Amino acid sequence: MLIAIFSYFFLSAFDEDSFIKLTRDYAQSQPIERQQLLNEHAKNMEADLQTYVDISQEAAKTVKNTRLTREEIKALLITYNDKRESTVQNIIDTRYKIKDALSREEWEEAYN
Amino acid sequence: MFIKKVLFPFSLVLLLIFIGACSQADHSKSEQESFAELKTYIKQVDDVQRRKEMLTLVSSMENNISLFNHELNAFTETSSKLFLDYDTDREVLDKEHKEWVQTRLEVQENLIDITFDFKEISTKEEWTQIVKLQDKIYENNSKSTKDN
Repeated sequence: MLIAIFSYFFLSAFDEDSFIKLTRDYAQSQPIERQQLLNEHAKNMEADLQTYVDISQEAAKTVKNTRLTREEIKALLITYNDKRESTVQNIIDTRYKIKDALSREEWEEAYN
Repeated sequence: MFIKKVLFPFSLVLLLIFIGACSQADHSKSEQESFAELKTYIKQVDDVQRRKEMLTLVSSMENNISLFNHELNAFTETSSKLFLDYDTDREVLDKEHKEWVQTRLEVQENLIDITFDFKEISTKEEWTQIVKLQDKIYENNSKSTKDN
């Protein structure tokens, strides 16, 4: 029950999978140096996403069969939310790095 | 050329919206059915006062999950639009995100409170059954939000 509050509620706030796929697709049509840069960003984003999933699983494992009090559980929730939040900030950073690397036309071609 | 460049992508978007709407309606239905199951179980509780308190908790749970779904949809839609707009400043997106995180935390804390309130007024047997039925609700909700 508490596991649900710690894990299910985080499943879909971001659709990074599509963004990563579009980045890789666009990179393929680019010169090698740019291709490497975009693929590197996509790779970092994938790694951050994996960390996000790992933190959620760790949170679920921690509260499973726990005998913590209401307040202790809430404190734990804030700890795990903060951990996840720092990963989300990394993901947003990477998104903006990609945006900064592309002109408006290129951006629209890649993602719109 | 017109078909390939305009009509096909447009039809595809319409199709995806349609599939999304059907799937959302289906999951909302399962979520409602799970809530109905929980209410039916609680209505069998003999003690009038406890039964009343439990039904109030279910109603509060429904309100929180409904708020969560509504805010999640709004955030997903707004943030996607903002991010895809080349001219959106990072601060604007961060502000939206911060508000969403705050709402999510409030919902989570409310649901933790509801869980503990349930535990305090239930017998061991009731509690086991209630947890099982609540998990079903969360599972349906997670499917629904994931499909969005």
